Amino acid sequence: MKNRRKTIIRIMVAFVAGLALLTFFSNTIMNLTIPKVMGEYATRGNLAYTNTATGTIKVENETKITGVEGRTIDKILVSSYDTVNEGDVIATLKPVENSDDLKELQAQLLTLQREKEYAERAPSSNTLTTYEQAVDTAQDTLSEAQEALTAAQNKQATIDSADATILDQSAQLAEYQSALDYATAEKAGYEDQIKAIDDSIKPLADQITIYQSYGYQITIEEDTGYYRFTDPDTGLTESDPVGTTPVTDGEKIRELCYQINQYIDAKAPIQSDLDAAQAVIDSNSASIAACELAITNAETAKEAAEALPSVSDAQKLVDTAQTGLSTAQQSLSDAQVNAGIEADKAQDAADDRDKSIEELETKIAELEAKIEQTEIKAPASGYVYNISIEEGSVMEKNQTIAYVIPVDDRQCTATFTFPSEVASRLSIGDDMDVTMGYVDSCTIINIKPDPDNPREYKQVKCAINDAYAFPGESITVRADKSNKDYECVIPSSAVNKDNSGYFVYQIIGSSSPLGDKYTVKRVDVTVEDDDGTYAAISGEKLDKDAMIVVRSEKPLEDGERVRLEDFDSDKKKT
Amino acid sequence: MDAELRKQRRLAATKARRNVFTETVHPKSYFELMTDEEREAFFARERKRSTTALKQRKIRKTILTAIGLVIACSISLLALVPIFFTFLNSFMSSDEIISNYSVIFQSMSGHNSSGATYLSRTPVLKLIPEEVTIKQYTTLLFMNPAYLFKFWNSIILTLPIVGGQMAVACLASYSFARYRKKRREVLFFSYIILMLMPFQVTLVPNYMIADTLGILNTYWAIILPGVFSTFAIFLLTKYMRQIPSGYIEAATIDGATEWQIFTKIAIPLCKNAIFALTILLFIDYWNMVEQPLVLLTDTELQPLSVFLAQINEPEIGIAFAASAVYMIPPLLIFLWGEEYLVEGISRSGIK
Repeated sequence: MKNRRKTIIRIMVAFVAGLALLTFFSNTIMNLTIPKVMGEYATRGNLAYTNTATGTIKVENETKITGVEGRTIDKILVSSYDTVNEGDVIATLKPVENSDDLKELQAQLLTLQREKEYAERAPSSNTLTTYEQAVDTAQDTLSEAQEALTAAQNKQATIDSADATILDQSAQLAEYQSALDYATAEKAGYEDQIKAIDDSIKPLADQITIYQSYGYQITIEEDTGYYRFTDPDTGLTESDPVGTTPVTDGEKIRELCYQINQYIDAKAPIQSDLDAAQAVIDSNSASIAACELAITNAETAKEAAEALPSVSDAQKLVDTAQTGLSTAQQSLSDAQVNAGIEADKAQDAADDRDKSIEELETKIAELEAKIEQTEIKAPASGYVYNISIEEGSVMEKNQTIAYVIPVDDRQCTATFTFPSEVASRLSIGDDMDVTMGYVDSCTIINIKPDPDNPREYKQVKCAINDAYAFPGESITVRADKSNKDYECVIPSSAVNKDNSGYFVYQIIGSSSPLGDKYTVKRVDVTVEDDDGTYAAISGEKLDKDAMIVVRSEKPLEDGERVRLEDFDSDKKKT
Repeated sequence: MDAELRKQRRLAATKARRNVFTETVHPKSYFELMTDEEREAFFARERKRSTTALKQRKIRKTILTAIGLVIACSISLLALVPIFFTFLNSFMSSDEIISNYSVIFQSMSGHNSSGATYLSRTPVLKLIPEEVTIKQYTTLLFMNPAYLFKFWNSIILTLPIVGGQMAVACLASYSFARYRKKRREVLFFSYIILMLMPFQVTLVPNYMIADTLGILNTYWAIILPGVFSTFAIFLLTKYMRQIPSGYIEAATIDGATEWQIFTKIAIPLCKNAIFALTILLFIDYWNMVEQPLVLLTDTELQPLSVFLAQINEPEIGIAFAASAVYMIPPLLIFLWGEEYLVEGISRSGIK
């Protein structure tokens, strides 16, 4: 029992201690967990565009006074806002003690001129001949390889053609040979017949010869070989018939002549056949020779075709030749390009050299002129201002040492940077309200995006209409055009934006025995207008009597509990 | 047979002691007149009857016990359901509670600035949360310092009242119990009258007195009337009057002073009653609503009981957790002094 009571007492003590700790840290926990917000009631009214911007007056028709590079100011004869006339001496320069720069430039000029002369005298070299010859050789090689390829591709056809030719010519040769043999046989027959006839004629001719030796006029026609005899006794000719038995010599001769002529007549067709046979023999011999020649040629062609390489080898040769040709052509092209580049380089170098020579000549002329210059004069009449040199200072290149602005008719401008939304309500020709600075008026002459942030800001350029405006003065203008009456105007900081649009957080308060409790409620709104400080909003769910969060310690969420600070019910405006 | 034998022996012993022998005619009983068969049949019948009667009695007793148990369990369940309901619902999320019970507030006046409306749907009384969460407790204990402050207000109000009232009650009760004179009896009777009066009757005078004393809207406006409340005096007086006077007389003879008698005899003998009263007073004043509601217009001074009585729609999300935490101190106090309470109540007849 005692232990139980002790346990219960410990629990009681722990419970009370826990509550005490929670109470002690209650405000700390609240501060850590519940964000503190500041709320305001929406008001009815217009927006006062308090968008102001500050710009510096600049004179558009000012004239720069440029210094002389490298020269030292001896004395400055004017001070800021002194009035000078065109040609008045602004400052005097110390004389140039050494002209090393000029000598150096002249030495550079001489070097360049010499280089130019050497370049003009240098012979032109043609390095492309070797490459062109290589290309020709490669072209010939390619042609040969292509022919070899064609031949290799036609190799089988050539062999087949040669075989066909050999076969055909062999067949013809056999025919011709048989015809020749036949004609030779015929010819031998005919020759035998002619020989028999001649053998028959010979005794008769011997008899005739004998008769001739007897003095008989027996003529032998040369063209025909006929024996002509006219019997002096009878006057009969050999063609005349003789009796059955010749008696006389004449008759005998006539008979002999007749018989010989008969033999000659009989021989004539045989001879003709013999000639024909001989002709056939000659013709066939010629044909045989032609056939043999054709066969020989075909065999030669066949052997040559068989000796040709394969198509793949020939193709490889063609490819190799093609590659060689491409390489040669590429080399030629590269050589041509390189030659062109070299030529261009040479030309550019020549141009640069000419330009450098020209520039050096100009610089030398300017330097000579500067060395001779002893003072700086005012380029125009007016006020001198913004003198940026001191006596004894050395001027740099293109250094503006002062400006001259006209005494009258100064064209002064000032450029102001406004948010794009504000600038969208401005238009060229409008007068800006000058809130700070002493100028008569300020008229917008140009509106363009700000180069640094073209989306968010725009530069508004204004003409300053004031005879006494001087450059460098700062003026502040206000872009204020609003005269509308909005139902709900709240500080711009109260309007939030996310992907779904603009919204505000309304503070929903509830009073309970545990004290006042505030939660925020997200209300989607439409921003009708915004002047940078205040925004005019509207929305169907917007409760115009509810407070709106204008500032929060932490990002809020819909329905989140908040604490109020600086709440003053007197702020509520009706 | 044993009974018969014992009877014969007792008779013989009696005769021997009296030394007389009188032969009395002993009338035969109903059983003696019976034959053995009849006797056996009689006993068998009686056994059967008694067995049946015993069975009926047992059944009746079982039924009555079951009915009583069901009634007791039902009543206990009805008493315990709110506690379980509160405890289990304290683990629901605020959204679930609002979804289930917010319709109740539709019937209340001032709801949504459009007055009371009929319930659009029946409230869903749920014991099992859809999603068990301790969000209510974290919200209550970490995000509502006002709750903690009100808790301390309850402690600040309750402890002095209980302590002060017990001190006053012990002294006054000893006086009423020890010295029973006529004027004291009249005074005690007035205490009884005051105790019997409804609290609301004395509220207005209390308010006026507090206003006169300038303690209105301070803790003293609650503490002072509480310290001098009559209930504890009445009960403790009744308890002390049960102390035997011999104890006190013996102490007096032994030379004990009145203070020694009070501290050494009266208080130890009344320990159970004092603890029981302490528990009862703590529970009573822990739950007080009317006094702070009337006498403490500043809500920052009001105790937790007032807040629980005023729970409305905005706080329903944390109402069950607030009630559960509120229950813890009385529960601990009761567990601590349970035996004292039971004994004290049983002996003093409290309620």
